[in-house]
Amino acid sequence: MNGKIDTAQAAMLVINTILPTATVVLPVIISNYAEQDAPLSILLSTVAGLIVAAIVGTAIRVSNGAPFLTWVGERSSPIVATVLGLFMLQFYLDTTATILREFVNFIKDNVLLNTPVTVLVILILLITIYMVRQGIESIARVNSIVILLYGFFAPLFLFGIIHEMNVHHLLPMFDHSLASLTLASITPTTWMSEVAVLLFLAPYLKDPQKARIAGWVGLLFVAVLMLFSLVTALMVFGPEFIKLSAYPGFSAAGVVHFGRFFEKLDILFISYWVLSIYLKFSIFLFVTIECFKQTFRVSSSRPFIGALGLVIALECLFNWQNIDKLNLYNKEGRFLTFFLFNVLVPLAAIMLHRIQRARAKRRECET
Amino acid sequence: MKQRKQAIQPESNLPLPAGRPPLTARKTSCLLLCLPLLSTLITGCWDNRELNELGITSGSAYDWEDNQWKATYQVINPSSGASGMGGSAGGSTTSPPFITFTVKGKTIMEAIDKTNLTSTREMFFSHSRITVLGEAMARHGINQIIDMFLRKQDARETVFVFLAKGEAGAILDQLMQMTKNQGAGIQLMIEQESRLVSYYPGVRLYELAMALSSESGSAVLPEIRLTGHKIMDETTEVAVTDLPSRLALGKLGVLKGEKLIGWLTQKQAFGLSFITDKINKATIAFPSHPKTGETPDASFILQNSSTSVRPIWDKDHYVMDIHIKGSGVLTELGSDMDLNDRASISGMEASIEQHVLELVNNSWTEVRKLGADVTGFAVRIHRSDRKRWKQIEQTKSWDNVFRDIEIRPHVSIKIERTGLSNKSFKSVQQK
Repeated sequence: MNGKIDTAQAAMLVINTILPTATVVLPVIISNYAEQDAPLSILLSTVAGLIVAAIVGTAIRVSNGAPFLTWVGERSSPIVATVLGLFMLQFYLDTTATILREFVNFIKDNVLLNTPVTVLVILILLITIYMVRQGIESIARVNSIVILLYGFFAPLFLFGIIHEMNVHHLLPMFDHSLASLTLASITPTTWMSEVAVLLFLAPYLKDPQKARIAGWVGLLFVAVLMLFSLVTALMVFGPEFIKLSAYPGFSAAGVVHFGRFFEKLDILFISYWVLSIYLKFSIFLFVTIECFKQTFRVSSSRPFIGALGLVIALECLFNWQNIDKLNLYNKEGRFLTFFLFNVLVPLAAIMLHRIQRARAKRRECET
Repeated sequence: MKQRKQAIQPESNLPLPAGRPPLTARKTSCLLLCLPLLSTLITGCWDNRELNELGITSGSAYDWEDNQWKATYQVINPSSGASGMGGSAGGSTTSPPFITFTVKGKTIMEAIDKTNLTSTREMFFSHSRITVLGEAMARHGINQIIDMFLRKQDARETVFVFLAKGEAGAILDQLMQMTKNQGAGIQLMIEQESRLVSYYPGVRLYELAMALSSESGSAVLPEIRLTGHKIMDETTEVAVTDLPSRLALGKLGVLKGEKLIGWLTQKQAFGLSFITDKINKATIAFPSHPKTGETPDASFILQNSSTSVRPIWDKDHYVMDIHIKGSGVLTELGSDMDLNDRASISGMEASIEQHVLELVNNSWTEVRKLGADVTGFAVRIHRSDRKRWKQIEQTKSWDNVFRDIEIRPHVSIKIERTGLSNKSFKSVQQK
């Protein structure tokens, strides 16, 4: 079931690893700091994301696509790999639980007001577990179809909203200090750093040497789509109103209309978003299970998918039930943990490899 | 490397234990078991709503009375017929096309919930087209209404907002002749007005929120009023050719902060449309020979118009350099004039320009008197002079700066075509 995926599929996986929750969570956080300069902070965070992708790609290249924790174990010691694996497992469990919570919150706020959160969580989890059991190749194939649908939804959105857009809402540009822009770009940078899931997808890449390219291409697409979503919302609502809305991108979709016949099309775009968030959640669940497999060195993860899903569901239900706590974590807490696991861990792996190679060369020279 | 191979090995290639049924038979039986279970997922969970249990709201009105919110909802009557009201046939012809509920509450949502005490159907707001705010409520403050519309899941932020001088709820009782759905009818009215006449801008709720939360902190809302004293709320009353009382657009309300502070007349509103570049199409009546008399005797349809505003800091105050450019076609001429003569055309262009100039100046005088920046000058200054705007923001002196603003309007109108006659009919008669 777990066949290999090519570089294009990997790049498309990177897009849906980052974009679905980024379009929901980020606009409010960014526009609170940067207002009409919000697009600049997306550009800044993209640059940071490209650097993270380079680090992750290099780590995959030096390990030649080997399972990351196994490779770390071989290069350092099995204890180090297990301890690192436990921390990373905790990190991915937390992250997957927050994704599930953001998914559920959005659905509760916009579509299913009366349906209990527990029912939503169980349904989403059951569907996603089924997806993960089909393997990464199946996820990647479905993901490619969903990404291709952007070719339909993006122009539809644009043509429906073009009469409501006012380019002057983007002015004055460069109105905010570099400090504000940096603050605004910190949170999107944490999202961009999610490209690090490639570390755990590496064993399934047909060409692990090109992981860096997959990361870069994916991130560039994410940047373009984020800019598209943010700039259209800004041009429709202006920098002040955008701060009021919990989901500015979808508020903009609510304004989309074609004549007087097709109005209030937000539900159409929400349906498409649900497609993509299912893929994001399945990618993270898959990566969590991969992390579990590599940490505990089990050959088959199938018996554990349900158990890990249950842990994620419980964390989602009881740890992240306060929306203010989740917002605070997204705004301030995420950067630290994401920087640690998505940047420092692969960077440390590269350093380890370089040091060992240098030592080996020195030994060769001595002999 | 051995472990790596294990990690990517297909997990379903394990041999089947002896005695188990073949894989396809197991899959089929699983599928047959799961299919009935899947039907539980398509029930709409806890959020299913039956269409015949919903009261589809096409308009709402809010008043402030005895320190309480008074809300009126216009609900489409599904049993109503279409005779004489447009739309399709079917249902009872005597039954009104919509019914209204008026409820009171300490908060808006409390009032909405009280509709369930009188209505057999749950209110459904997603198809709302208009909302009317009473003058008393607008003077009390509209922030709570805006917040409710932006927060409530099924409230629609694209509704057109109007002001009513008296009781807003009364507006929703009035039947219309050409359309069955009054809310949709009023929406058509304002859309048509802003497309063809441009006196008032059609303001949707999110645009109102944008204007009030912008640097200017002010907004305008058109007034909807009844032309007569009687409310035509019986279906038999509208079966006449000339209604004694109709719905019409009146003045333009000016809001500052969250409160209504004054009104602009139709002419002042028209001038404001020129300043704020909201002209789509407009008819201008003007004197063709201004030297001989001021009585308008010619009409011009302004088909294209654009306004650019440039703020200039002049020693101690701002000067707004307003350039209005427009072009269109002559549609009516009551004087003796040869339109092949360039001088005649230039004279008329100058007369139209003078008329627009008067509209703009008249509007600006009233807007400055009210002290509400409905012109959007604050936004223009922020965009073009960031440093000074930051100073104004820090010292919170925008009201003083606004009062000292001087405008310098420049109007350039071009008559591009003169219609199907080269001379006026009056000139032919004299010969």
